[in-house]
Amino acid sequence: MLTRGTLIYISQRLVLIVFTVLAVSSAVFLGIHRLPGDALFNEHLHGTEYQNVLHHYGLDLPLWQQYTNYISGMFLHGNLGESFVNRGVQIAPLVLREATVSAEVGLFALIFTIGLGMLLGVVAAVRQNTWVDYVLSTTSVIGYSMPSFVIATFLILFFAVWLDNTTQGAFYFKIGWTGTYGSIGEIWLPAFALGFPYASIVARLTRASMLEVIRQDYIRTARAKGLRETVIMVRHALRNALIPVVTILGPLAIGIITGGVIIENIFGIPGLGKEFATSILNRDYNIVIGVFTMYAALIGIANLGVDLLYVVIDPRIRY
Amino acid sequence: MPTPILQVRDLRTQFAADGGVVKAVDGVSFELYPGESLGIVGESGSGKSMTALSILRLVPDPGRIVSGQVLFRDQDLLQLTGEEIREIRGRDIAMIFQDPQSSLNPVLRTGFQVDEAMLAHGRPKRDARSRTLELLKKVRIPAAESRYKDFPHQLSGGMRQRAMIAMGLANAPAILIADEPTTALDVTVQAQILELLGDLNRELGTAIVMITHNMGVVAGLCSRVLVMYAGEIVEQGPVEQIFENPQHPYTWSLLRSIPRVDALRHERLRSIEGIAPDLLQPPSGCRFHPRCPFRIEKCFHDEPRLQDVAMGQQAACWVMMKRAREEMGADKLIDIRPGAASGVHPGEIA
Repeated sequence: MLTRGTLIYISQRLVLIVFTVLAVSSAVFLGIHRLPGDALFNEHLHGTEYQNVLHHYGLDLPLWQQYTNYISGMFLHGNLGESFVNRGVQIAPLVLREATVSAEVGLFALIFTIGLGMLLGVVAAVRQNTWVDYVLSTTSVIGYSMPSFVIATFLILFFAVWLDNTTQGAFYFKIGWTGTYGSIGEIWLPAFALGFPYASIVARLTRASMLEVIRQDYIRTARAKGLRETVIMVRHALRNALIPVVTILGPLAIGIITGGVIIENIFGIPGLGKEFATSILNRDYNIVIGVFTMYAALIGIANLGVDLLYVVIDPRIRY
Repeated sequence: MPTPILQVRDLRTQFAADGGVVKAVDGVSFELYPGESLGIVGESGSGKSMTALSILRLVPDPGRIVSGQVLFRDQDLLQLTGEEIREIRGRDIAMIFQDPQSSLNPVLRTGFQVDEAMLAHGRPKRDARSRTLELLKKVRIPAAESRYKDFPHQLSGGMRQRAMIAMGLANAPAILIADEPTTALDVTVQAQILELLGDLNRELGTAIVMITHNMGVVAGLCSRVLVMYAGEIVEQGPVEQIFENPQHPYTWSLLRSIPRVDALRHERLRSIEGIAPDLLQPPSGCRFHPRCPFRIEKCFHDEPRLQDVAMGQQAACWVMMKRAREEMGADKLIDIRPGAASGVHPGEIA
């Protein structure tokens, strides 16, 4: 499966990601310097004290020099600078850790999206035009009509507040995040809220695609061979039905990554999305650039992953 | 006469459509003898494919087999449970289809798809694989080992149909139903596939049911033929006899529409006037009467039944070609419009 062509393709895409990251960080760097406001404003610094701080961050240099320093620091030393607000805090390890947390939540959300979406789609297709199909189809319409933050609010109301009240605190879902990476018990609810709207889209697409596939000649061939119905559905129908699903997985992955900004803020998850909001409110511009840079890289890698999935699922596609 | 291996009795398969019921197969009965190769010919929509699919209960939705019997080794396939018919499919009766491009699963390796036919009937995996390689060689696929690993899109059309045939023969079935297996292939490959099927029929003794619209295919492969029109059998009998002396005007017209190498240079190719009937509202009486040059008044309201016309040959017609030749000059007929030879036109009937 990993042919020479595929490896070449992967390296080309990685080079492309590097250029994307460069373009995004440059645009954000230059754009942010045009914005009014000052991260150091609240510190009430004056005179040489203020000049010393400016010098510490290299803010006394001309813009083009600041820019080249920033870019060379990023690409040569993996250095994204220092926080304006929390002096001495290096940004690169900070956003890298936060990106890992976001990727973790995103990955769980993706598992919900694909797993739940496929399962519901296949069941609805196999039980086409029965009450099972109608219930599932209605659920998925509700799912993708509601934004994830509305779903998140309802989930918190139900699992954290209502369950707590009705069981007198004996059994309820604790909203929170312990340690850097949280725990399975803490992650599934935000992941579900984030993934559910997309799971609904995947379910609808899988259903339609399954209904299309089970009319194909090769399904008739599989029946004529005497294969069992479950084998026909899973091995012969589902694999073909997934090809269009993989196609929308790229945009879906991006939706999950960006949707994480809201979900992380609702559930208080210390990920990239939370930092995104905090850093903008603090005018901590170095972190803002770092967050954007990480998002660009994350989205690039997610897209590459989806494109590689094609090769796994459809042997007719080779890079 | 030996006992037939397959007996189809009064089979009726219907489709619910918007304007009523389409009777795709309407009271078809025939026998298939062990090791025989039987052709079923007819135009598109004559019900030949649906007859074949009904035997294995593979009729697509919204089609339903409404009545009849399909007796195979003394059991009625139409009465079996889902699991019982599944065991028959591919093991005792196998089927191959028209377009090998769309009939093979694009995401599975060709060899594995042949393996599956055996795995489905309990053969161990390693055993299945070595038999697949043997089969691929038997159907004359060169470099079978590397073809085993290829995906269908990496094979040529003829190669794919050979792989389909290998799949069909995997469990050494008693009957192989071939639904227009050569239609999607080009002419030289068609000939190779027919030759292969003929050889396998002789060597392995597998009975073949060949569904086709091509009289040439029937002539090359089959010993007996059924001619279907609008969901019914209109004529059946040994191939030589039917070719030499067709008794149903439809069979006669079909045979006249084949280009012949030995024809006179200026002789025109004869088509059949009109179009295939709408099965939602099939014509009254004999279903061929709206297109038949030899029709008589009786044909408009009375449906003819199959009757013996020669040794082993039956036809369903009120006139029969014997009379058409003697009384209506069928052999020299140029004008083949409906009623042209008999002079019976609808307006005069009323």
